[in-house]
Amino acid sequence: MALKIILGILLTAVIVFGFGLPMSLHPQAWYELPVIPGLEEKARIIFFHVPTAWLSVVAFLTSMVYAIQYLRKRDLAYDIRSSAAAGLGFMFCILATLTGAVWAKFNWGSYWNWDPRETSIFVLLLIYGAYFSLRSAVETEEKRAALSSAYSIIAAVTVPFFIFIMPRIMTGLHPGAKGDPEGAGPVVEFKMSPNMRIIFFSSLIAFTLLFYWMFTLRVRTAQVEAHNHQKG
Amino acid sequence: MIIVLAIWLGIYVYLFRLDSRVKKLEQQIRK
Repeated sequence: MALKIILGILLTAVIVFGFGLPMSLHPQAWYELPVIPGLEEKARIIFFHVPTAWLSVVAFLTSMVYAIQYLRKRDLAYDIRSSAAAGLGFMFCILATLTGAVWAKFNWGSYWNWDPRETSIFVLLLIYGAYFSLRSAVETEEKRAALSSAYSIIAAVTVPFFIFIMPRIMTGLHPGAKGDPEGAGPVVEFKMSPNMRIIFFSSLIAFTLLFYWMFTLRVRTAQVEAHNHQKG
Repeated sequence: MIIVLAIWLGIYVYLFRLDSRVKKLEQQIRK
């Protein structure tokens, strides 16, 4: 209960301060956010875009961990957890794509630019879209669990490559791409001002709590469904 | 800001209601 209240207060504060605090070229007061050249007001979306992308990675890796557990112990409870994590990862991946597309439209002039990071997230969406197609195509519970667990492990192995490696070895529009004179950007190099950093890390914590709550809720719902299915 | 806040609060209330509904179902199963 306490975690849910903390989450409510934290994410509400992130939205209010992230969107509401004024931006200034020469910030004087604690509440003034600095203007990042080239981003200006658009920089505010960083508080939502990066945490959603990060959580999709966390969710896909969580799915892999439970998939390994299922293959070791053959307990369907692990399969429920693995598919719940993959579902949430897919949802956060879509949110990262949408927030990124809006940002790209106002920063680079077009919603989609086939930048390496955009391409890699698109491929990840295809990979995990296929995961759910696979799950819906197999009717036997044990067979579905075994096949999708094996698939989830292979899919999660590609995640670090698509999220961390590919966008850095190719030239692109995102910060941190090969040949970017400004380096990895304000997030990776922690160049944000202290007040921006507080909002950013509060957002990361709040989104992680949200993921944890949604994950446990999805698992509990699936367990109730499974119980009713066995009974009826 | 107001639109994003409204969406978030809508999701928050929905999750809270879903949570209490699942809790009731779990209690029914245990009985």
